[in-house]
Amino acid sequence: MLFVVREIAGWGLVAIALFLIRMGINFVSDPADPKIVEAGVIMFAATAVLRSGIMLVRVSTAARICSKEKT
Amino acid sequence: MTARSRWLVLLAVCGIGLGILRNQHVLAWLSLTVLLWLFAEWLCFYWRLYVELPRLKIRRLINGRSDTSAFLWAGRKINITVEISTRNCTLGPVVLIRDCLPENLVVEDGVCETQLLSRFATAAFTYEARVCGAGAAVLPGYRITLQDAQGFFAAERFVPDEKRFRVLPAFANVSESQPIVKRINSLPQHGIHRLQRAGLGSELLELREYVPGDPPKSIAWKVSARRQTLMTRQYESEVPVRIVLFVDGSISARIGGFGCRLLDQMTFVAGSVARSAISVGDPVGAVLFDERGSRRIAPSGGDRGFYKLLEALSDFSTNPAPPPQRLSRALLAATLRLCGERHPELLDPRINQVPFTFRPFRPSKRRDRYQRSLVAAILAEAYGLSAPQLLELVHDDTMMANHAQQFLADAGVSWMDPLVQTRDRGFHDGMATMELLSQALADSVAHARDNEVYVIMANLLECATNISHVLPAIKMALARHHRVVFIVPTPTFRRPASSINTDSAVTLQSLLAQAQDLRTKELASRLQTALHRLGARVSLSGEAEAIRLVLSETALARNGRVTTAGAR
Amino acid sequence: MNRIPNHDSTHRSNDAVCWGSFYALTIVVSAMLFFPYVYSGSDFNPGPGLILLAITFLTIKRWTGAFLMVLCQTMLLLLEPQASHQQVFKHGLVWLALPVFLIMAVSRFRTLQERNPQTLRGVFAPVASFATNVAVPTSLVQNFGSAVVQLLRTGLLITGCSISAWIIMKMVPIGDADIGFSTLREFRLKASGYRLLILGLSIFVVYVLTWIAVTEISWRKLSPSQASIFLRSVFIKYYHRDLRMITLKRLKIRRKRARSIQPVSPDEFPAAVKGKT
Repeated sequence: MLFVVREIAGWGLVAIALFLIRMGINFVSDPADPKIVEAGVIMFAATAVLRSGIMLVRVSTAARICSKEKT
Repeated sequence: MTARSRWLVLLAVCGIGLGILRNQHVLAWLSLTVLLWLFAEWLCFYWRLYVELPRLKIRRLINGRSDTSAFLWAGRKINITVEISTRNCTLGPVVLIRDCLPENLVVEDGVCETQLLSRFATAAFTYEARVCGAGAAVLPGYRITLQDAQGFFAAERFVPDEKRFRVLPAFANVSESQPIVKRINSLPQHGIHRLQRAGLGSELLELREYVPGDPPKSIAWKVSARRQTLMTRQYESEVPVRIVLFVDGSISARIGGFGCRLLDQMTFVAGSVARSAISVGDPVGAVLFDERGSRRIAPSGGDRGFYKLLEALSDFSTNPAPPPQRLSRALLAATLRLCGERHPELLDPRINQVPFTFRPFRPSKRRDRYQRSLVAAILAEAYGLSAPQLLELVHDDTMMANHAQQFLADAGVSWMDPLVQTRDRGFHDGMATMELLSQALADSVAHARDNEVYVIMANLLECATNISHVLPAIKMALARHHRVVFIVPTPTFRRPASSINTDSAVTLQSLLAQAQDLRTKELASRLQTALHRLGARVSLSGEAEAIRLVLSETALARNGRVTTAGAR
Repeated sequence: MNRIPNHDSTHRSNDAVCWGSFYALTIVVSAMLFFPYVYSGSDFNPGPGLILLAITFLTIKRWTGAFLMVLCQTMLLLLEPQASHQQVFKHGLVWLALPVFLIMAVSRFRTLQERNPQTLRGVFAPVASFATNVAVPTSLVQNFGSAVVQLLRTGLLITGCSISAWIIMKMVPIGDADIGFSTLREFRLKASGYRLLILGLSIFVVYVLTWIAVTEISWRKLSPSQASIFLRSVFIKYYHRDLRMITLKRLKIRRKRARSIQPVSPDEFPAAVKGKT
């Protein structure tokens, strides 16, 4: 149960990261006044959130495989 | 991802950047095309790796059979066919499949791998291998390297397909000839021999004066009438000749490659003597002794007894846990190589992550520490260690050395450098062997019956100058009227040359061989002198000469003759 | 029962040589087709062409396709005019198709060479047989069909990638046509810089989404040993400092204890051993 919760939390973080990436693209999309520096900061944060989400998902997947093998 | 593709990605990204910034569209288009092409190849490769590769089916046939466990014979060749097929798809384009062989098997003809450069549905390859020494041979599985056509991506996997074989020792068929002319009054049963001692046989041994207590039916009346005094007939004993083989499995006897160990010499002689003795009905037993203790196999005859003895010799020939050694770079490198061969997927840096540390600072030391951490993780997984124990493996040399040795030993690596240090072995190992031999001999004499032939096969060359430690046990055996024969194996598997050969070309190898021969000869002569004084026979090496010596001693024990046609 | 083909070592070397011969031919043809297009402009300069030939042959022997890529990109950098997207570089399609084909053929040849070092030598055997009127090896003829099929398959993939690249470049919005940039401050105002940003972000997003999907699918196919090693290594990575401190301290105490054990004198040794047994 804990593994599932952790995996859902991981996917949640991944979704947040994708949302942040979308926000970054929106910042840059305006040809008249592209906010490049702001987009850069957002992208950096999105990368960090993405990595942490992926790590959570991987750890819970690996733990589920191990517990399945033990049972 | 290989270095080839990484460089192309870097160049493609730079090309895109420059092309767009400078409005050079063809440059950007070319670079973007290469980048997308690499991306597409990456997706195709992952498909092959995770969807097509699991559908691969590999089957190994040994001498036409696919049993998971069976018997093999040392010194003989086996034919191995590996059949590869895929379920409902083809695989490729570059696939390298290698059948991982243990050290006890050596490829004689063909190659134990195949490389398939285009997509395939079925394939096979055949090769011949020779089994080197007795013990066990475990074929663990196959190592598969998958690559795309351009070499941009590569992955290695190990497919386990364990097959365990018990390898029985080789033996020579030494023919035994029985006299054609019947010279005795009665033909004893198969396995029963005349013993020139008083007993209840049917052959007359001697006539002696009557003493009170002799049975009346043994009185020789005619002779008594002639001599005017009562004379009694004494008959010979008819007993089986038991052969007890003492096989030394101490550390010094196990060092060396499979088929080249002193133990292999000894098991060959043991098997040959047992074959010959059992063919004439003599029961054969064994005492197998090493640092773990001694194991006694009661003398038995017939084919069942022979194969029981061979199985015991085979189990005994399987190397136990090696003696503890210090951790060395070579040992770690050998362990890493074996991990790379048997567990390539566990060396993936995404899975086997090593924590970053600032120390050590030197790049070479950092690389060594990194490799050691990788190996420690695999050893922890193999032996069920916890995370703190894994960290202990990284920092504690003794623990790492023990586990690395165990890992190599479990994989069937022979006792050579770096698994077992072969230098500085000599006198002290010989002392330990003598202690074990004395104990085993004393125990055997305590369990023995009459008329036994003790064939002692032990590595006693190194302690030739101090053989006195084992003499009391030998004297005890000889005092009980047993025959004792020593077979001392030599490192070169042959008798030392009697003189230096000055005709051959002088090379380093020939000089070393001659020096070894001289040393062996010197030690052997001391050993022979000490043992001959007691009345024990000695032979060197596991050649046919040694086997014939043992057989002549058993012939002496049977009928008092040196050969079947000789006189008493 | 299906007959399973037996791949012995002779068969394997013939395979590598056959494929190597085919791809060597592809390299030669592509290089010869590309050679004339290297001269762009009115002045005849044999330099770039000779450099191309030299690098192509060196790549067959030693280097990888990256050097060819560098050469083609450098030539385009120097030869292609910095024009707006309306102006099409002359022979642009040739400059796209032939370098990629060359890189593909060279990479494939290098892979075959790595698998069988005799490939390069074996490639010249059919040439020699042509020269001496001896029959071409039948294995070369038999594998020719499958080699052509594989080449066409790869060619289709590359064509699809180039079309996708063109579509991606067309989809990215651009502002006014301009040439070059001079400072970082001007970067964000120039249309080309802006275009690069949008294109880069688009590719990045597509890559991230695909990467997440592919790696997560592959992650679910981990073996129990791999999963166990991963969990152990992640745990150690997170608590490395503390665990290392505890481990080193324990080892220190153990070694101190071992050193502090009184050594037994030789006279007492047999008694000590007897006592233990």
